[in-house]
Amino acid sequence: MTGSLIHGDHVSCSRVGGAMRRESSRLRHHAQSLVDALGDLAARERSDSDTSMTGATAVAAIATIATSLRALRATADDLDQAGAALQRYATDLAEGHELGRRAERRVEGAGLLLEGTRVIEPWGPASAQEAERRRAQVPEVQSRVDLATAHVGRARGRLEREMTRLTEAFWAHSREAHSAWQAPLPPRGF
Amino acid sequence: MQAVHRPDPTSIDAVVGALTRSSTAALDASHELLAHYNDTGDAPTQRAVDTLIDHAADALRALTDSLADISTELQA
Repeated sequence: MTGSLIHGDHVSCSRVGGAMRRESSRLRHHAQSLVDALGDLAARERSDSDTSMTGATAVAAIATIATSLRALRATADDLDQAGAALQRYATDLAEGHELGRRAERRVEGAGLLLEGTRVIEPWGPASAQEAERRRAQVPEVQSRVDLATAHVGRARGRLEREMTRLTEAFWAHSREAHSAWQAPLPPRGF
Repeated sequence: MQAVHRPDPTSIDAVVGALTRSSTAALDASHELLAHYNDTGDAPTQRAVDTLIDHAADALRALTDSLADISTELQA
């Protein structure tokens, strides 16, 4: 849905935001399963500690997995935040479209034109009275247009800031996952 | 000579299974993110969203590899 004043497709933004939150939920579920499995392993290792030569080994293995697990959970949390930010933006954009449509109707009703986001008087012959009537309406009609563009502008600013912050976070999670991947597990059973 | 202790294979299998499933889920999530089209309506905002999606997918692929690698090593 792309109007001439406010651009963008709020449905697609909502859809990708929803996909992010769904995937986040799935990842959290898997992270919890991993936590449970690790907890079980740790408990068994503790109960066998009298005979365990691998207590330290198991702890080290769990620590290595824990690094990836931490990155997995953090990625899921940030994916949820990114999805929520996109869904909020989709709502703001939908409101912006509505404000834009109203403003465009007002422009048309006043016999004025839009040049980008600027309200202008049309070219061509008009009576002095008609020209004056149109001119008098420009400030009020322009304020309606500005309301719509400012609404969406603020929403875009918020989304950009949030995307930038979370992009840095994802970059850090990627590095953390790489570091866990490159750290070899200790040998088992010695 | 001290006794050799090996972790309970059932517990290890459970951890391996959870690692494998988590790895697959991370890969699926990265594909899902990249599969969606979106239009914010503004070039700088769109770049910010596209960059985030690229980095999120990269983090998910790194997790995929990390979890799969640990799983493989544990099975060895």
